[in-house]
Amino acid sequence: MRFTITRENLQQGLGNVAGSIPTRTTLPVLSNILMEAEAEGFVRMSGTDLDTSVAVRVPAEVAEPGAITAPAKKLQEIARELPGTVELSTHGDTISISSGRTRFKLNGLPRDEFPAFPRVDFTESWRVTGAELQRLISHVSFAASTEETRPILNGVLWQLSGEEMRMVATNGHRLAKMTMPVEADSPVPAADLIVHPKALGQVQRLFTGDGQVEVGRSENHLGFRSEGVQVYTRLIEGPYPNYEQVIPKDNDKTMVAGKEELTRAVRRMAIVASDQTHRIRMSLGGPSLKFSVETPDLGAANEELNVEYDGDPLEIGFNAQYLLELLRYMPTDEVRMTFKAPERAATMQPIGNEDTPDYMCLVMPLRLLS
Amino acid sequence: MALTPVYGHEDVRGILVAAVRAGTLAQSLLFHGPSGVGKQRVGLWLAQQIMCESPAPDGLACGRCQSCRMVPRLEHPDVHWFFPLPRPDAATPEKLREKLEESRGAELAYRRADPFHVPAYDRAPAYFMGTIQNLQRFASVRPAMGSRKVFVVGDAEAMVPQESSPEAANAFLKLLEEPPADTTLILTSSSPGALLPTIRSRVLPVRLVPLPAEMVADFLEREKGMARADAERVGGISAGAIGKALRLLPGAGGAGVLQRQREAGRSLLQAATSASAADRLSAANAVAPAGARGEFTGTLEALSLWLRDLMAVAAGAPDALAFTDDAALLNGIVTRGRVEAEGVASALLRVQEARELASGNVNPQLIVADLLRGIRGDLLRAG
Repeated sequence: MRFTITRENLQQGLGNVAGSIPTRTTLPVLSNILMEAEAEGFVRMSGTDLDTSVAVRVPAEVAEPGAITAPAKKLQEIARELPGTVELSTHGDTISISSGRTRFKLNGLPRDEFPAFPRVDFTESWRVTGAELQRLISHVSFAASTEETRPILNGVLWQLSGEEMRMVATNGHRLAKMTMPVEADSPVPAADLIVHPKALGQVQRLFTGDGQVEVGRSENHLGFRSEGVQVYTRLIEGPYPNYEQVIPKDNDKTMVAGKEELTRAVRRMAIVASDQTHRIRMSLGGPSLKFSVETPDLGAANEELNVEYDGDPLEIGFNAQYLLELLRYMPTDEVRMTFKAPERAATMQPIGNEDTPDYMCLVMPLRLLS
Repeated sequence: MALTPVYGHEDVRGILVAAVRAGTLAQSLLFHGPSGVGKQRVGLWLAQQIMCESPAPDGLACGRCQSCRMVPRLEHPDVHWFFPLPRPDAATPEKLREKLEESRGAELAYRRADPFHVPAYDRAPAYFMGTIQNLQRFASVRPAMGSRKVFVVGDAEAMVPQESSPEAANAFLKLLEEPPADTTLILTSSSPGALLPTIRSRVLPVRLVPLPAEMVADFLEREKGMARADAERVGGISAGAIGKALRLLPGAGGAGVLQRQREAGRSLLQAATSASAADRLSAANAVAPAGARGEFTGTLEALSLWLRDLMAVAAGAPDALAFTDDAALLNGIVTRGRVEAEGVASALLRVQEARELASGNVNPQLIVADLLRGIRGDLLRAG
């Protein structure tokens, strides 16, 4: 294999793939990057941690096609320090890198030690723009669980049905859900795909703007591709718990409040809330929302806020951290919360947004002691 | 480097591979049989059969496809080999999980580099909650390359008792109860009775029997390059277990563990036959007071081998010695103490009891003090 590549292209390619290279692994070859020089003037660089695989194509002058895997970290460090255009060639498993008067030799590993890349069929694919993916992922994936007790909740559910797609994530205490129309040549077959948020992070990083992204799936993987970039992720074993049944349909009390004021008040109350439960009390009635918090051995706080509220008086407790988290992802200045009873789930939705017409978060209340 | 080929177990392997090709292989299996007969090796072999992309007409793995090349090199991303490991120092459960996975990686690297690698740990190896959580994480995602995932869980009995947390076994049980459809679990154990009954009832038991001594000798000759005579001698005392034979070889297990254990065994034997009780007590004192399930077990095993050779001399069969170098020492003991084979037999039983005590984590110093006094009584009964 022999090719010449500009330093910028080499760095860019390596940088895009680097995010998928694991820092620690039981499989040594995974700390390597697979480089394949293709005859038509491109080099394909791929990396994988087996959960997420990234492949990018960068332009290069290919003198002799071929493939090798090279230690990713060292290659990246070398690329950073090289003076200019880079010539890369292999002799057996040795990689020679030269640029100007600098020469490097690196020990590589043959290509067939690298795990086979997932084969994803894009014939039944659907299309989204990078911006739409960004919107879905950034509003939902934060809600996935980070605890290891139920691996399935560590994933984000991506649900496809006919003409729409929906993302849902929850840790059992709060949940985020967003729906969007989907564009495809033929109706997308219904599917429940469970994806790791880390993979979605890669997708967010690599697909931006209005460029079209094609999304396809296989039995075990989900693939994203656009001009020159491909991301594959391993699906998490299902089935995802039935989240529909926790979404309240008969919440009859509605509160509308300014996001900023609400956030500031909750943040202040959170200071004296218990470190373990983060519990704060909300008392609703008439046009006001009263917050209060009392932590034995620490102290107490209260605050009153003007809101629109139309229901019967209600006393309800919440984990302040969960409320703040949901508020952070609300895209509008005003939010609507709905309630039913002190022990029933409450919902939070943005008001007056066009970009995220169907965005809803849910938070479970905490039992109040008195 | 790849693992050495599997020796023996043809019947079991035939049944297993037929089940794989017919799609009737049980999802959870338990390979049980004596220590060292190759249960984990057959487990990895079965993993290769399951992973092979183009099996030969006779049903066996082709040995040429990428999966077939990766499994024996322990590099297949969907074949996960777990084994008990000593507890790393870690402040939080998350750190513990990370460190356990790191040490599993390090141990796999040793096994990749040296197919005869015999692990030796300072602390007793076990399964911890963190290990099972790591395992569950691999089980909770779809396969990376093939169409299935295979887990080989070696020495599964180490999941239950004192050192491991009982939660580890219960968490594993959860996985056994609802394994993902594309997952095969292969447990191995040389003491299946020590497994939780709830685990045992959820796995299909498959018994692996000891190999003929000649087959062990064949292995040592072909794979390890030993002279036929030596290979036969070691094969003869290996109880049909290649793993045991490897542990008997001098220098096996890296930094001369066996040699060291053999030395320790010699000291114990000498102390046991010494006239002075002070010698015996100081020998007991020289043993580390903790870690009964760690290297101490190996020392006891070495002492058994010394006694075995002593028996050969006492019974007038010096040609049956496993370690001929030490014939003079043994002759001396037999002549001086008028040792009889019958006495050595009782001493061997005593060592067996001591091993049971050690597995119950009794203080090794106490075990040795009592053991040496007992052995002296057995050996010098005539004298």
